[in-house]
Amino acid sequence: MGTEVKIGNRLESQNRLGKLIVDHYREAREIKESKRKPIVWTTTAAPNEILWAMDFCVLFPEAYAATCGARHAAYRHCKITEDKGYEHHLCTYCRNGLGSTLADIEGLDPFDPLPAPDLLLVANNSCSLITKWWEHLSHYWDVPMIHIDTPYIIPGIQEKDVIGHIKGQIGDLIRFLEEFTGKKFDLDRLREVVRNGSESAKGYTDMIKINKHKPSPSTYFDLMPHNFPNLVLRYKPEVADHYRLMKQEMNERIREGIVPFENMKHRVYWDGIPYWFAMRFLSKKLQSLGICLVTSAYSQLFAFDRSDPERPLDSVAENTAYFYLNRDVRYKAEYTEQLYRDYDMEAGIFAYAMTCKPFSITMHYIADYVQKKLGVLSTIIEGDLVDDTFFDEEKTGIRLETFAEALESNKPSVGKVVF
Amino acid sequence: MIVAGVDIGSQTSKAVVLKEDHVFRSALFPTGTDLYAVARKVVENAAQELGHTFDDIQRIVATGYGRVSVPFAADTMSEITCNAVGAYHFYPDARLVVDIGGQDSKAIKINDEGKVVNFAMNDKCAAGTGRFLEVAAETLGVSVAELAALSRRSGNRIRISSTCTVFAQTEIVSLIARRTPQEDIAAGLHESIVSRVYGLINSIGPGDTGRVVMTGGVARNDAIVSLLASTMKREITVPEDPQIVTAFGAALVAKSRLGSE
Ligand code: SF4
Repeated sequence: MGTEVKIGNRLESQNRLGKLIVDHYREAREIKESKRKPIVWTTTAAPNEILWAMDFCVLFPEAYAATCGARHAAYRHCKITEDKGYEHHLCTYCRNGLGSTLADIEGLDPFDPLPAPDLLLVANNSCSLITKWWEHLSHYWDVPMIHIDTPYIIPGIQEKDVIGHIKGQIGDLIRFLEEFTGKKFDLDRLREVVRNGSESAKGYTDMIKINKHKPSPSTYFDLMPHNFPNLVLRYKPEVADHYRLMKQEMNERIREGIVPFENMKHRVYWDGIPYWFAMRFLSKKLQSLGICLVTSAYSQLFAFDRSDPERPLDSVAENTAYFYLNRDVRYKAEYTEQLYRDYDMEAGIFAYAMTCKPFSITMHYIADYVQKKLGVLSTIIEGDLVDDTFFDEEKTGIRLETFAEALESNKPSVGKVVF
Repeated sequence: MIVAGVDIGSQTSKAVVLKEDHVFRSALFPTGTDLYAVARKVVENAAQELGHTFDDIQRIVATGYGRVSVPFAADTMSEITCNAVGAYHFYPDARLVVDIGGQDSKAIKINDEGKVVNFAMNDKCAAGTGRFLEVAAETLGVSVAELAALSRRSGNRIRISSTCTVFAQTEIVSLIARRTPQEDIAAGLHESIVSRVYGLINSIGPGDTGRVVMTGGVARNDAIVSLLASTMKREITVPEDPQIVTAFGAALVAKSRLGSE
């Protein structure tokens, strides 16, 4: 990197994002009060366009868990669940969700709780535990739950059969919702929702790709929270504007030679769900080591890039079927390898989450695969999504320092290292 | 040229003072709670052994978990890198270093230039570390050295199912209550550590060429070393003083950086 670099402040888009999030939750609370819409709690890659098209207020307990983690409130919810006898190693997104629910029902002061649901929708394309989590929610809230079964996309499976299977269930979902709400499903409204979603998805994926530029105008941790609009609000036309403005801001940084921090030395890949409670520690540590996280396959979880208003039902089914976590490990490894190539990254940090086995279990394979294919260094750190009892700053620090030292000593430009 | 490396570990602090090329002296003290004081003391002690004073040392590199509490160090470096540097210095054909210390265990893969190419460390709990053996020995009412001796006499190794140190303690108590011979419990405990460390080693793709070097306090326990060697089906080399290898590596880093600013 030349010497003429300028260090950027916080992206203006972070403020806009903050407002989008606050407005979303404020609106949900107002809806709960006024009862003008039914509230549904759903999973990341369920066929949620159907819910928006039928005018539900749609809330995401997984996103809520991430917020609780980042705001250091999740431990309270996790503890409530543990006090009820749920075990410590249970997925902590689930423990957070059940804990806040129990706290809400029992008047125990949960952190900014999601307004109570009238209905639950779950797709098992992230893991099978999530269905059990939702079953407990259904039991505690005493509301119906609909489950969308999403067979795993693995080599040899007839993908069109999987899509057909999901599409059939979407038909059932629509019939159920018509009965539940007393309203007729409107295909044109779905088309409009999917159109907004496809614009938003395009904006989101284009925005993520700007970090291919060398040097990257932002760190991946700066970009990551911006999955929220494409996940939660993509049915709204204005979300595409958020990404348009964000791209403008990032491109401007590139033009002006602005980088996110001083002394950026290494372009590094991040794998896994972030440790939400440790973002500040990790950001500071990585910056001090000159490591710029550039991108992650995690962003692909929120891409919803199959959305196509010309094929609304099929494309909604495809987004559900082709959800990144519903793919086989070989696909993920090849996808990750391509990211290393496209973003010209020299190494990877794999963030093993102790309580999310479905995501974490593939990490050894993927880290090993890219290491062998590209000769890059990988390190696996250990922690958790929202429960800091699984995380050790000191140990993580040593791992990251060693990783940075190894990157330094293996840098060809440094030549033969002295030791 | 006089340089030093100081390794502030969770239980013991080590220093190596290096003069010219290969003349060195080391010192070792329990870490305690005053990290600065112990760091100063080990370095001073090693310097005195060599007939020098603290002020004669031209550059100091600190490593280990207390590395940031050593204000007189010119640099800090992670113990994994220092360990690899030290092990490679003593054995240039080393390609895998296994270090089991008081509260952590590490597997480090190095290449033919002595660079770290992969590494793994135990997670938060003390399973697979020296602490596990200490707690187990205390529960059995013997020293760690006696535990190793007992283990070698076992004819029927018991499987300890708890890898967690606290649960293992309970398990030992119930094995004693069932009159299980101490020798067999001791052998089971050694096996438990070795199987954890073996998993750690395999997680980095250790390869099957080059020398395997074992360092850290637990490398003095020949029952562990021979059990790990037979589990890995590899020979394991233990340096004469396995506890100071990391501090030695830090001293070498100090030497390489002397005059670099
Ligand atoms: S285990 Fe992982 S994938 Fe499953 S619900 Fe929890 S966080 Fe999501």
